[in-house]
Order: sequence, then C-alpha cells, then structure tokens
Amino acid sequence: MSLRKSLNLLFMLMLVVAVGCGGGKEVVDEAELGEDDQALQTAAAETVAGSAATPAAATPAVADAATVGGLVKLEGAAPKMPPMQMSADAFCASQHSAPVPDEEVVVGPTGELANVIVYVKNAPASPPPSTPALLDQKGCKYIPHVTAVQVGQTVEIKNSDSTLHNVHAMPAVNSQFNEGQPVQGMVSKKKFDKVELTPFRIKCDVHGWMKSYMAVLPHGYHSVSQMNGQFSIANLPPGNYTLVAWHEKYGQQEQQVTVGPKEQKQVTFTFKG
Amino acid sequence: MKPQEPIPHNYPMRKLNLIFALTSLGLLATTGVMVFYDYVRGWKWFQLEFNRIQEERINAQLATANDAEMRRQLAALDKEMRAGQLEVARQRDEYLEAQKTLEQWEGRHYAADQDYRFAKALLDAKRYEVEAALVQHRGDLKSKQREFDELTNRVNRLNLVLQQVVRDRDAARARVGKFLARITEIEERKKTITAEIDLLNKQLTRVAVASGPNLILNAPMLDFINPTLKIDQVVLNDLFIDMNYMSVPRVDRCQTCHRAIDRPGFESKREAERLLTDLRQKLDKNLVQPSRRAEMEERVAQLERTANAKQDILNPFRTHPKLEMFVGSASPHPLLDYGCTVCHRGQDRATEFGRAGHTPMSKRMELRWKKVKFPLFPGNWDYAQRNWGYQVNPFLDTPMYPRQYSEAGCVKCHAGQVDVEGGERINKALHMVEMYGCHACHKINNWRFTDLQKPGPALDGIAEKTTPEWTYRWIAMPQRFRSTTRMPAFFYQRNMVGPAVPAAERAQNIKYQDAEIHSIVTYLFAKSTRRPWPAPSAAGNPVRGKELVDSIGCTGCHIAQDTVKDEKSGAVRVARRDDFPLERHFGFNLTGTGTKTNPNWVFNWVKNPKAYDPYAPMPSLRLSDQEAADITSYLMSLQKPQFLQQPIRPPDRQAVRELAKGYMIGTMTDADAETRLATMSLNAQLEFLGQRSIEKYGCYSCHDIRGFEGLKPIGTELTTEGSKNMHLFDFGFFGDATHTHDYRHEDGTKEHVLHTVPSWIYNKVRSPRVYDDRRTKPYNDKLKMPNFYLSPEEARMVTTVVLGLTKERVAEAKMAARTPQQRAAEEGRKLISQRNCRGCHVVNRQGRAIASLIADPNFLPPDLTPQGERTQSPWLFNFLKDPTVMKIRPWMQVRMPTFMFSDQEAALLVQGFAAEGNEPQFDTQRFHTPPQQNVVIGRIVYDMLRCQQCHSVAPVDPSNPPIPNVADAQSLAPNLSFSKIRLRHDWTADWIRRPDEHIPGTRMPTNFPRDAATGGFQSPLALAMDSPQFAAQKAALLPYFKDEAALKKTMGDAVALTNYLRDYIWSVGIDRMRNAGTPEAPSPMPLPQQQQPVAPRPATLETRLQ
Amino acid sequence: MTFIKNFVNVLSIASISFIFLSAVFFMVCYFNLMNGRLKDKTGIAFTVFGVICLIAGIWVTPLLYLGVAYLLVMWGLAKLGGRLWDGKVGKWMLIVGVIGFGLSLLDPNFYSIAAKPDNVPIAAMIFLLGIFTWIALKKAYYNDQAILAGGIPYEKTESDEKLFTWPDLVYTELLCMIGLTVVMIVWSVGLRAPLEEAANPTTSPNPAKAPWYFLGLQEMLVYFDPWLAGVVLPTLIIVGLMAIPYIDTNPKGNGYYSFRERKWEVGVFLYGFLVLWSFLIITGTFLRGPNWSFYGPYEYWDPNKLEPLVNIDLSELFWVKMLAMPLPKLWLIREAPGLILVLLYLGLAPALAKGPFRRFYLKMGAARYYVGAYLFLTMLSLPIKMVLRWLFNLKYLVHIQEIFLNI
Repeated sequence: MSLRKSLNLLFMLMLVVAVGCGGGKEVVDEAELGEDDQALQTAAAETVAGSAATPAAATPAVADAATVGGLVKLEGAAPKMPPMQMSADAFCASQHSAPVPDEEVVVGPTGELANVIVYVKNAPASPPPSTPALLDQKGCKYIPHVTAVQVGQTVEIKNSDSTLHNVHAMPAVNSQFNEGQPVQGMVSKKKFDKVELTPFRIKCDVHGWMKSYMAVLPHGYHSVSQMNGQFSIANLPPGNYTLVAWHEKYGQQEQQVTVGPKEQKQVTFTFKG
Repeated sequence: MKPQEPIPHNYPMRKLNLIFALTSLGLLATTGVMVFYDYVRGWKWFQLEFNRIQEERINAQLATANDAEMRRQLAALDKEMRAGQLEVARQRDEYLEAQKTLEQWEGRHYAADQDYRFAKALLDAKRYEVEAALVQHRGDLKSKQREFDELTNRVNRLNLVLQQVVRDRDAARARVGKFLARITEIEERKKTITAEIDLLNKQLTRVAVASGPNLILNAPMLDFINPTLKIDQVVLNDLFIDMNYMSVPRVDRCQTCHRAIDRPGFESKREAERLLTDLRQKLDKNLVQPSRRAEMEERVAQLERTANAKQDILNPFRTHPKLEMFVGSASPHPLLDYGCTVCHRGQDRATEFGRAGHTPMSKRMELRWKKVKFPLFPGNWDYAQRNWGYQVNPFLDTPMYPRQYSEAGCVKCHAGQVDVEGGERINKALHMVEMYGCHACHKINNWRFTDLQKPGPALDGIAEKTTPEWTYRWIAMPQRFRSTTRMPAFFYQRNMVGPAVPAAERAQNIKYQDAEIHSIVTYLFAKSTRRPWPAPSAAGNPVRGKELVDSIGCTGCHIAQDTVKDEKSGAVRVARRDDFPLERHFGFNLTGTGTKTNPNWVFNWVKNPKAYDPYAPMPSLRLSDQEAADITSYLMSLQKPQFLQQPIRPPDRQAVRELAKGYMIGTMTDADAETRLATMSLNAQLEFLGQRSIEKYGCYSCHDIRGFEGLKPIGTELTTEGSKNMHLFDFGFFGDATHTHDYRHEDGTKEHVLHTVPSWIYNKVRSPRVYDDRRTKPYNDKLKMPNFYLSPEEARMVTTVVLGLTKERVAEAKMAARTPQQRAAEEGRKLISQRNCRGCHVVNRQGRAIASLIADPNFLPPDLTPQGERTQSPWLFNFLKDPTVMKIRPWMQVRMPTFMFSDQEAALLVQGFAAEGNEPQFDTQRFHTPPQQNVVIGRIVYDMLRCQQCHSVAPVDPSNPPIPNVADAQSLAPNLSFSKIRLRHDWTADWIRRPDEHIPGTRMPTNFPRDAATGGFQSPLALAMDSPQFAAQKAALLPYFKDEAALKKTMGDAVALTNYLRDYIWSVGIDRMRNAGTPEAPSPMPLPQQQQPVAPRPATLETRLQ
Repeated sequence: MTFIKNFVNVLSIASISFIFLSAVFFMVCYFNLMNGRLKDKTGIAFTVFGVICLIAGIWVTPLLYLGVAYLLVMWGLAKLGGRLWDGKVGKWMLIVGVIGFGLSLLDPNFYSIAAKPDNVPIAAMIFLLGIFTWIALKKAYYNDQAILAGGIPYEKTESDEKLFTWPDLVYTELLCMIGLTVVMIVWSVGLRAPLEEAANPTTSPNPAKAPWYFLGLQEMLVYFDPWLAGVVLPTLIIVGLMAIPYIDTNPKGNGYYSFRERKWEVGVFLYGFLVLWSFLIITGTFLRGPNWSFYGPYEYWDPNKLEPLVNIDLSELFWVKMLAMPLPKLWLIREAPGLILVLLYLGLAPALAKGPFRRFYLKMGAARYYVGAYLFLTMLSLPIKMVLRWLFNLKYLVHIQEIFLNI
C-alpha cells in the first residue's frame, strides 16, 4: 500500500492505541527467565526456601474436633546403644551411678520406639501457644531428647546442672545461636520464627556426647512418642491429612489419615530396625 | 480601440483550483503527520504506562487510607465547624465591624508600605549620585548631598509611619482572629487528619494519565512548558564515553524509560522475596541498630506488598535488582555518581530501544524483541509479549552486555581487586581464569596479578615422574584420565576428526596428530633430567596413608575422586570440574596417581616438593618418613589400569617427514630440507618436530620446558578484547550468509551462535575449534586453541571476564580499592588467593573448600575473617614463616603447611590481615600490665563463668604443648597462656563479649546474649550473685567494691566483666615464643637441581634451530 | 526462478553489463532512431557481434549469457523499430520494469539493498531516467519523421501561440511546489532519515560508499589512479559541460527535439550521461558490496567474498610477460610502451582531423575541434580503460611511482 495510505491509517491506529496501552502479563517474563543463567535459577530456589517463612495466620478452633493417637514401633532387634563418655567432666560423671546409654534409639520392651516426632503435614496453621516449650539439661543430658515446638512459641532452655553447658543450636533455616549457661538454674528464652520440618541438632560443645533434636512446626498438631511409644494429636478439624513420623536414626515415614467429626483415630508407625 | 480577443487558458481553471484545494489539504495533513511523528516518541509510551501503574497503586492506597474511621472523625469536625460558624453568626455585627476596620487598615498598610519602599529606592539612587559627584569632584556635590539628607529624613519618617500602621493593622487582625479562632483551629485539625490523603492526591495529579492539566501540559507544541512526560538524565562529569575523536562525559538517559530503577517498591516478585528473606534474617539477628528498625519494618511491609501483588512488574519498570549494591542512594554505586552505562555499557544518550544498544540474551529473545505491534508506528509497545520493534544497532561500538554477562561491567574498575565484596560471581570468574590458565597463553595487561605462576607443572623432570606411554595417552586426551583436569585437550578435536571433516582428510589429520603427539613426547623425554630419587625409607601402609590424606589437609587442594553422586538423579556419574569448589582444583586430582607415576618420585615429592621443582606451588606438610611412605603407598594404590590399555599407533614416517619438512622449508629450500631429513633418524626427526609442535601449540606457556625459556605466550592478547569490534571476529561459516546458527557441542548439547561478540566468545571458549566447521584449511592453519570442555556455566564465567577487559579507562576517583589500607589488604588477598589459603580457611566469609570432607566442624582449620583484629602482627609473622613455632590447638589433625614464605611475602600477608581488620600493624597495648585487683576479680569471674572447663591456663612450651587426650577433644579450647603473645589486647575482651558475631557458628559460647529489644548485652552473673552457689565468690569479690550495689552493677555489666577476664588472661600469658627456624627438613638427597640456576634460563634460538 | 536470478546476476557483472548496456544504447540509436534494419550492413555487424559473444561463451560462460541476452534484445528492438516510441509500448515497458522490480523485492538479498533508505532515490532514479529519456527520444523520433516527410517539428507548430504567465505558468508551478513538498515530507517521515552513531575512525563501514551522486566517481577509482579519477576527470567533466555551448555550433534542433539532425551531440551526451555516469552510479549503489567487490543484485553481501588481486601494469605486461626480461631500471624506458600508447591516443585527434572527422574539423575550426576532440577522447578513455582492465587485468598504462604519475 502507498505511504500516504498507510499514514492515514496510522492516525486511526494512534487513536486506538492511545486508548488501550495495556499492562504486562506474567507469561512471557517467565519464558524469559527460562533463558536466565543458573545464577538466577538458584536465586529463585533460595527465595522459595525463604518464602516458606512467611508467618502463618491463626485458625479458629473447631467444634467437632477429632483426635489422632497411636503407637510407634521398631521392628527387629533394638540396637545396643554405647554408653555416653562422661569422663571428661567430673561433675557429669558424678551425676550417674551407672553408665548412661546413648539416647539415639530408645526402645521399650516390646519394641515401642520413643523420641519420634509425629506431626500433621498439611494441617492448617494455628497461632502459637502461650505456654513455653521446655528443654532441660540435667545430668549432662537433654530432657526431653527430642522436642517439637511451634513457630513463634517461646522455648525455655534450662541448665539444672552446676556445670557449664553451652546450648549450640544448629538450625538450617532459623538463625543459629550458641549460648553459655555457667550458672545453675539459669534459663535462656528463645523463639524460632521459621518453619523447620526436618529437626535440627542442638549440641553442647563442652560435653560432646550431649545432643538433642528440635522441629519447628507451623501449627500445634504434633506430638512426640513417649517411652511407651504412644503419641496423640488432639483438636484436629475433620479432613484428610498426611501424618509424618520422624526419627533421628530411622528417618521419616508418612501415612494418610481421614478423620471424621469427633473421631478417635488410631495410627501405627513401624520403623525397620 | 477594439477589445483584444480573449486568449484561452491552457488548463481549465476549475480543475486547477480543485487540484490546488486537494494538494493544500494534503500538505496540511502531511504537516500534521510530521508534527505527530516528531511528538510521539517511544519513551513517552513507557512513561505513560508507568504513570498508569503508579496511578493504580496510589488509588489503591487512597482507598485504604480513606477508611470509615477517618470519615467519621472528619464528619465530627464538620459538626464542630458548623457550631463555630453559628457562634460567629450570633455576634454578626461586631464581627462585620471588626472585619471592616481590618480592611481599612490593610488598605492603609499597603499605601504606607509602598511609600516607604519607593522612598528607599530613591534614596539608594541618590546615594549613588552623591558618591559619583564625590569621586568626580563635580560642582553639584553640595546640592546632591543636601537632597540626599532630605531623602534620608523622609525615609526615616515614612518608616515610623509604616510601623504605626502595621501595629494598628495587627491589632485589627487579632480582633477578627478572636472571632474565627475556633474555626481556624478546627481546620488545622482537619488538615492533620487528611495530610496523608492530600499528599497522595498531590502525587496523583502528577501521574494521572488522563487528567485535564496533564493533557494540556503534554500536548504537542505546548509541551515546552513543563510536561509531566520528559527525558530524565544523569550527567556524569568524571565518567567518560570514548567518542573516538574525544571522550565526552556520559549522560545516562536510561531512567527515561526505566522509571523505577532507583525506586524501591517496584521489584519483581522473585526479587522482592529474596530481599524479604535477607531483611527478615537481619531483623531476627537484630543486626539493625534500633534507630533504623522502624524504617526497615516499613520496607518489609512494602516488599510484602510487592511480593503478594497479583501482577508482577515487568521491565522497564522494575527496581534495580540489587538496590543495596547499585543505583540506590545508600549503595556503594549511587545513581548520581555512577549512572548506568559505565557498568552496562550501551549508548548513554539514546532514548530508543534499539539505539540504546540493548542486546538480547538469546535468539528467542531477539526474535521476540524484533516483533512490533504496529509497523511504521513509534511506540505503544506490547509489554506482555515484550515486543519492542527492536533493530540491532550495527554502528554502536559498545552494545550492552547481555544479562547473563552483566558482571563484566565490574571488571574495568575492580579487576585490580581479589575479593569484590558482593561480587561472588565475578570473583569466582576471575579466579577461574587464573586457575585454568587463560592468562598463560593470552597476554592480559594490567591484570590483578603480575607474577602469576604457570598453571601447569614443570616438565623439566618429566622422565623422573612418569613414562612416555602414559604421557602419550595423557596428551592425546587428558579428560579420559581425569575428568576434572585443568589440562585442555589439544588433539583429535572437531576441526581435525569431527563429523564435518571429509573422511580422507580425517584419516590424514589423524596421522598428523599422532605424529605430533609422538614428537612432543620424544622431545620432552629427550630433554628431561633423570635424577635417581631414593626409594621410600619405610614400608608404607595404604590404609594409614588414606587416613592421613583425608585428615591432614591434602584434600583442601586435591580432589581424590573421579565420580560423584548426582544431586538431582542421585545416580553416580563421572565427576565434572564444577562439582567441586575452585580451590580444590589447585592441586591435581589424585585419582590414578599410581598409574601415572612411581613410588620413589611420589615419596620424595610429598616429603619435599621444592626438591623436585623449586617453583612447585605445593607446600610442605612436614611429613615424617613413615607418614610419607604411608601416603606414597596409598597414592600408588590409586590405579587406572584401563587407561594404559588404550592402543598407541606408531608414528607414521610419512606424516612425520611431511610435518618436519613443512617447518624446515620456512628457512631452507625444499631440496635442502629433503637432504637434511634424509640424514636424520626417525627419532631425530621426531625431536625436531616435537620442538616445533610444542612451539605451535604453546605447551611452554603453561609448563616450564627446557629450550623454551622466556618465549612469548602464543594466544591472542586479551587486554582490550571486550571492546574489539564485531567485524574483527571470525565467525567462520556461522551467520546469515549460510543461515546456520546452531551446532552440536562435543557433549551433545545444542549450542547457538548469535552474531554478537559475547556469543562469539562464549562459543569460542565452549568449543574452541567450532569456527573451523566446514572450512577447508591447510593442516597447520587450523585453529589450535585447546578444548577445556567448559560447562556452559564455566564458559559464561570466562566470557564474562573476557568481555570485561575493555579499553575504557575509568577516572582514578571512581576506581575501586584506592586507599593505602585497601591496597595493603589487596596485597594480602593476592597471596591468599595464590597460595590457595581458601582451600582450608575461611577468608572474608568465603572459602574453606575442605569443610565438606571433615566430619566434625570442631576440627576445621580456623576462620581467618577476623584474623587482622584478632592476632598480633609479630606472632602472625612468625607463625606464617614457621607454623611449628606455636601449636594452638595441638589436638588438630589438619596441619598448617609450611609455605616457605619469604620474609617479604609473610610481611605482606600480615599487613594485609591488619588492613582487613582496620587495625594498626602493631598492638602497643599488649605490653600493658593489668592492675592487680583487676586480675583477682578477673580470676573469680573466670571460674564463675567456668571458663576453665574448656580453657587451660597452665603455661606450656608453645612449640610443643602436651597432646591432650583426644578422646574427649570435644571439650578442648586453646590454652590461654598463648593469648598475651598472640591476641590483640582490645579484641580479646570484645571476643569474649560476642564471639558469635565475630565468627558465626564458633564453638565459643555466647555468655552475654543480646537483649532483643535494646540490643544491649545481658550478663548471666547479674542474678547469680544472690544464688547460694556463688556465696564464696561474692564474699571474695565484695572487698573490691564500694558496696554490694556496685558489685551487682559491675556483675551485670558485660563490658566490665570481659575486661576483667582479659586482664586476668593477660596476667597468665607467656611473653616469649620460639623464633621461626629454617623450616625445611633437609631434603633426602643432594640434588642436581641445587646446582642448576633456578632463575628462568634465557631463550637460545640457535639451540632450538639446530 | 533461481535460473533467472543467476542469469541476471551474471548479466550484471560490471564488464558484461557495461558492454550490454553500451550495445543496447547503440542498437537503440541505430534500429529505433535511425530506422536501421537487421538486413543491412550495420545490422549484420551487430548480429555478428552477438554471435561472436555466443561462440566465446563456449569458453567464457558469462559471454554466453551476454550473447543470448544481447541477441534477444537486438531482435526485439529491430522488430519494434520506430514502434518503440509508441505510447502503448512505452507503457508496457514501464509496467514490465515495475513488475520486475516488484518481483525482485521478494528476494531477501535484493530487498535488503534496494529498500535501504539511502538507496530508495537511486531505485527511483532508474525509472525516472528511463521514462524521461524515452519521452525525449520519442519526441525526437517523431520530429525526425516529420522532417523526413518534409514537415516541421511539433514544437514549431505550437511555438507562435501565446499564454498568460498567470495562471498557466505560475499557478501550475505553485501546484507542483505543493505536491513536491507533500511527497518530500511523506518520504522523510515514511523512511526515517538513516542517522548513525558517532563515526569511529578505526572501523570504517564496509563497504564505505560515497554519497550517491559521487558513486560514479568512486566507481572510476576502480579503473583510474585517484589523482585522475578524483581530480582531473571531474574537473574536465565540469569544464566540458560548460564548454558545450561554445563547441556545439550546430544551429539545428534549437527549440525542438531531434536526433537525426544532431546524432553526435545527442549521442555523445547521452552515452556519457547514461552509460558512463548514471550506470556507474547505479552499479556503485546496488552492485558494489563489502570490500568494494562485485555482487549480483540477488547475491548475498558476504564480507568473506574475495576477488583475486592480479592486475598488472602495461610495463610488466610488455617487458616481463612478452619479452621475458626484468623491468628496466630507468622509468623512462620502463614506461616507454605505455607512454607511446598514450601519446598515440592523444595523437588520434589530429589524425582523425585529417581522416574521418575531416568535415567536423572544417565545420568547427581548429580550436573548437581540438577542445571538443580532447574532451571526447578523455571521456572515451574511461570505457577503454575498463575494457582493458577486463580483458588484460591491466592496472595502469603508465605507472611512474617516481613522479606519482599513473595513467
């Protein structure tokens, strides 16, 4: 077409256009990012990890809540745990008449497995409880050995020994700390504000044998199996859930559960020895 | 007279008039078009679009701000207001009266004021006249003087009058004000409430796209007044752009379209999330001073808004992705000082997409950019589809760096530095270039190191180390022996045996290549020394050897594996270089050592590397004969038998002849060459050819080889490669002419050649011979650059560096690391990088490649980040010279090697560390002896905090302290008696106060945790004082304090406590240490090496020719 | 399609196209203006030339192409004869031309060159030149016919009528002015003025081309020493143009178009203007690519294309090639052959004056004759030099570095 014609047409276009200069859409930018180099990609990955940390919103308490309880068992022979080498610190040694076996695996007479964290993976987030979680250091051991706390929940770490303990928490997502507790009975209060499902280690550099594990969950639907292997998660709104059980030696397992209103569900986890 | 008969017109007038009318209209129209084209510019559409975005945001904010609560308040105020007005209305008459008087007074004041000012003006004029008359000795001086005085009086009079009037007027005002007092007060309150909204509205008026005033301001022909759409620019007077004839200051107009580049709040979602996590962590660790906390939280809220916005912001409207690093006013590169083009390049003054020199990252991107929504029409781009009607600008010498190479911009200012803070990628890239030895073949002027060692080992003694058979196979294809090797492959590349090469030629090439390899091997072994190395003096135990290698720190520089577990698939696959940190490639990969060498050589090498080669980069780990023997037996057990299975074709006599002749006829006639060759044995021919081949392939650039001393490196000089024009690059048959852009890379991936310099370089380093594809060249003219088998990411890194090497010179004021202190630091860093300290240590929060291999973090080599603040220079100097002078953590298995630093090197390192730590070279306070009472108090605090549980204070002989029971080494910490001679006085106290902030993750517990609210220190002893368990200490302490309160106060004061502790430690510290002895154990045999001059021998041409 | 493209590509090689065009020029003069016949002597001569080309084509393919094209055109022109100036024929030629051009635009390589903003005017020029030359010659032809028939030229018939300056002249001029302005504006807006970045002395564009109106000169530089092509010849061109009215004393054809009455004047001018100037401009614009090497209109401008540099001087040709002896040291002797040739060439003028051009000499008188003759010779030296280059790769006839004289 002749230039003159096309220019006349342009006037129309210009009018049309001036009205509708629209904003951008997501699509193509993604495509573009597809071409970005690894650097950008990894950056993305990091932020995904980070974004898991956005604080959770509170969920209303439900009327016809269900309870999931159950048992964790260890199949096969329970491993023989070596005693803790407490000789380095006279005080610790003095605290125990008999040598204390390592607490990595604690099994009941019929294979009930203790110190297993059981939590609901896909439960709604709930506000942190006002009651603090307690982690005591007594006789140069952590009590309890395994803890599950909630995002924003206060954790009180106590030193009941009259020796120096230092609480060296090594979380991956939350910020780590390492505090000395020279004074008997002194308590340091901590908060974790990011979800950390795979439990991290808490150790004492003074006493190499001391270690404890702690998981930070977005909600209150979790429990740690007792000496009798029992655990129970109460006040769970009806629905389909994935239960996760984690043990420091035997790794983790998952189970699907469906709970109706006011139901008492029994679940059993079995770890292979 | 008779009328003249009418003369007919040539054309009918009506027709002409019609044409006239039409053409004039046409002219009008076209003029319109002209104006329109001149008016509609691409960038205006961008600004409009951005305004639209802002408008949306502001409206949203308005909606939230203008909530019910506020409306209620306003309503209430309105009610009051009405009440107030009624009030006034009630005393209407008085009010009106007052109003009237006020008006009168206003009038009078106006008049009086004017009189006064005019009179004053006259007076000033008169003053001049008087002065003039005075200087010019004019007769009328007297009269002038008189008039002047009169005027002066008048002015004073009028001034008095004015003052009167002002007073009365103010009185009147006050009277009126009394009536309105309430109303005005209410109005004030209203203002304060609506302040935010008013502000937003003000902004809105500026950005509103369709608002009346803006339409007028931006109307064509009127937009000279004060348009809202206008070009933004930064003028950079000390950053020049080279216009070839002259260098002119940069004027960056990028902001014209990149509106929000320096405005936080327009990040992409991903970016926003990244920043959020960073910021949140800072807030958690309360690393932000309380004063700035509020603003930080403000920012967090903003970022959350951006991250959760339903629509992601697209370029060009995004905030700069690293605002804390670039462009931001608080960043080290503020926009007003550095602009954009100095880093990104591109045409600074251009305001059109293509003209500005935007460069696509990929073909896809380019095609997308090239599309245009409306042909022949400037602007209104398709933001969603990223169509900008892009045309490549062939005349621009400095197109922008494509996004994946942005860091190239750092090089021209930071190349002199070793660590660019926040530039991890460019740091790695620069280091990579040195590790892989690009600098060895390619001359690079003003590179950060002038004294870089050759990246490859010396080959003077190759015969002592290995066999010709191994060497042949190695040269043929190094990657087949060690997949992670830095040695590139010279032979059997795509331009010799690739699929594109015709079969006949390929066969011939293979013959030639075989011949060349044979010849090189022959030459090397002919020229090699053959020193008889003694056999290991003890029987070795491979198991123990492996333990040693894994534990004493060899793995900081050496990899000992050639397969890895893939992160993604989890399958075991052949290892690639970038599976390991760069530092661990410093030494060669240990796998296959047994196949490669012989026990005697290994034994003597590990015992004393310098004995084999005085320039060997490998330090001494002070191995005992037994240890050396163990390690030897372990290394010899690392076999790769299948490698030696590969067949070796015997050299083809014909090929050797031809090649050798090819070199000879350079200097003699064909016939002479023939006769000469006839006299030479095959071996002689091979040796001759070998010399020439080594010259051809430049082996000597990376390896020390007899007979090639002091030759120039063979590669293209890269000093200004980044600003070389595109037409100087040979794209071979890639390009539009042949419509070929893709090729298949050796590793099977498809690669793409864009017709841009970055793409050329990328593909060159990725597959160095690719530009020979389908070309018919004589054998010796084919491309020779060897193949490093760089992964795409590695290739990108190298490309980034090469692109950064430009001829642009930056004003000294803008260069990085200029202060003496920074320079000193850099000198230190250079040594740190050259000696690969990062293999084992963390320096400036980077490094410690060895970490992954040592299970217990407590047995890792120390973090040197705070070394400068931490240690005293004399001690450090001594320790570097000879690490055995003091064993601080004797239970450690990792050994600090003896580098045999020269005094000067050690001094440089020490200065460097001091500079890094902002510390003076020497710490005078170490000599201060603490007052006795401090020591006593310190002592008590010391055991109240139970320090002795880990730290011993028993003075010991520094050079060999008793090795404690390593079983419970967990609870061990350095002996404090070393502190006085080793640590800096002030740092010691500070360290005790907050160890975790000096070295994150240290074993030293934090005894004085920070208070989350105030950020101040808390002391555990504050409360302890009352507890019975400390009764004794309390009793002991009290005498030193005025009263119990004072005691408690001190016990709560972290600073005081830590100072006491420090003083105590100082009191127990030892004062002397052994001097650094001559470090090296005498080498196992008298070495011929010793007699040889270690300085590089001069090149002797004639020896090379005959 | 590709065959036609190749055909055109070959045909537009500088030498071929030049010969072809010159030939066509002469043929038009002969067959269509002078009513020549294929049968008669000259006609046969023309045919013979074509046949020779064909035969030579057996060894040199381009010549084959040339021969074919040449014979076809010759046959066509001869058949048309005077009807070439018939309006319908003209219209058809134009249409065919436009269609050909349009079709060529479909070829990416052709398009990339022809649609380049700076080249558009040249493309237009081809057509304008064609059209106006055709019109002029048409008028000339009919006038000639009329005169032959004993009548008077058309212009004479209307020359005694009268018209008003206004409106017949000024008004129409005004209209043209407006029209032109419109065209100009639309043009300049339509294809944006091709402005470029600041020049970089170290990287000159490839090909580096003169402004279009100097491309003829630049093309001459290929065949002549810069000093000649850049200084002497241009000066002579201007001088020559100025001199024309004084040299050309032929009273015929004043105020009306005619060919027969001023064969030489019109012929020489048209040849100089069309073939030696406009054609060179067009070549320089469309057919000269990177490294100033030659590209057919449908060829891709590949910067890697190389042309062998095998041009030699006459001295080398004579001494080394023919006598197989080294070049004499003394330049006078060395360049003797060239100098002699040049002198002979210059001697042509007097020689011709005695011989075939005797009547010009008598008619014009010595001064006029020699000025004209030498201008003519200089003009002719260009095609001669070109042909020599193509036939013998001749660089210079005379090549004296010692005094920077190259001819």
